[in-house]
Amino acid sequence: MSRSVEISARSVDEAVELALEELDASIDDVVIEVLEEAEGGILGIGRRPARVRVSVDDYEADASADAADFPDDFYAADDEDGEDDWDYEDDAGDSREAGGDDELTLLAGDFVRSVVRAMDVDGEVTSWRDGEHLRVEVNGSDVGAVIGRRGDTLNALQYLTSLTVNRACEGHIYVTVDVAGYRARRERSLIDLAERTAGRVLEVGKEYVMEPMTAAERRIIHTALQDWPGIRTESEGEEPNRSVIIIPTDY
Amino acid sequence: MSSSEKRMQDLLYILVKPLVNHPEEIDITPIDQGNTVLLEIRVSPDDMGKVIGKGGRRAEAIRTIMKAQASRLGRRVMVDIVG
Repeated sequence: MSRSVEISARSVDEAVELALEELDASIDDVVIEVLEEAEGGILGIGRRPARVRVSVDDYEADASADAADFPDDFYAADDEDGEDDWDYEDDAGDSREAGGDDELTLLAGDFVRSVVRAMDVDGEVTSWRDGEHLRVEVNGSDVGAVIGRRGDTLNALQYLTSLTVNRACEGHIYVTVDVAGYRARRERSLIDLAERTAGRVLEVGKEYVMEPMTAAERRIIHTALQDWPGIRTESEGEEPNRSVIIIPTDY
Repeated sequence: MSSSEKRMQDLLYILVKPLVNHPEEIDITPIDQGNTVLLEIRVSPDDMGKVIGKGGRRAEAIRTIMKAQASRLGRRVMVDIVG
């Protein structure tokens, strides 16, 4: 089975890095096509992002499903749009009993539930299908331990849940695990932080290096500031200490 | 075995089982080292790569979750994957 994504970013390196994150793949296992090189422009005018297509062959999957592009809104809030896209193929309402793919929904829910219980966390776990996207949510009053520092524990749990689900099926299912709306809140607070910091950079006229973030988080910052006049953003440093740097363009 | 060691052993099994081809060969030994619990996990040689992952990414995710549990239990944990 092969999967591919197309990503635009400030540089080819950065686009490749984001694509690897989305594909859960390492650079040794992918084919990279540079669709467009980045162009610098003059003082940010006429700048064009780099665009790459990154493809991976999954050695584990039994192979048969074709490439499924990941939705761009992976880290976005689960909004009303998402609900409209729910898979209602089972008119009876309880799609969990429909068998087939819905066994995966149960599997994902059971896996997360057993982890949460083993952590001695009192959380309610629900799982549902959203087209090719499988979502698991943990809710409860004392679920912070499942999030961890800057989402470390949650990201690890999501990764292992995704492996568990995708090992059990032929196609590629995109899995999101969220705890008490953490991902949506984190995105909102990152955007606020980006805007506040960019305002400060414009005021002071000096570049600013933000705290280290994951590729997905850095992407939120880059996107939030891409249309801001007078600044540009780049990433610098090596994982896991890679940071967004906000640079005034006219100093 | 203390109850926290048992809980750690249970969680590690839950995390590793879906990754391997031979779950019946998973063998986890908790070793009490004071406040730290060392969990030695043995899997079928075929399954080593599936537990460790490329660049150790799977092992890293497993350890991250084990640490979250350990801190709730007031312990420290180390996970040693033994071939």
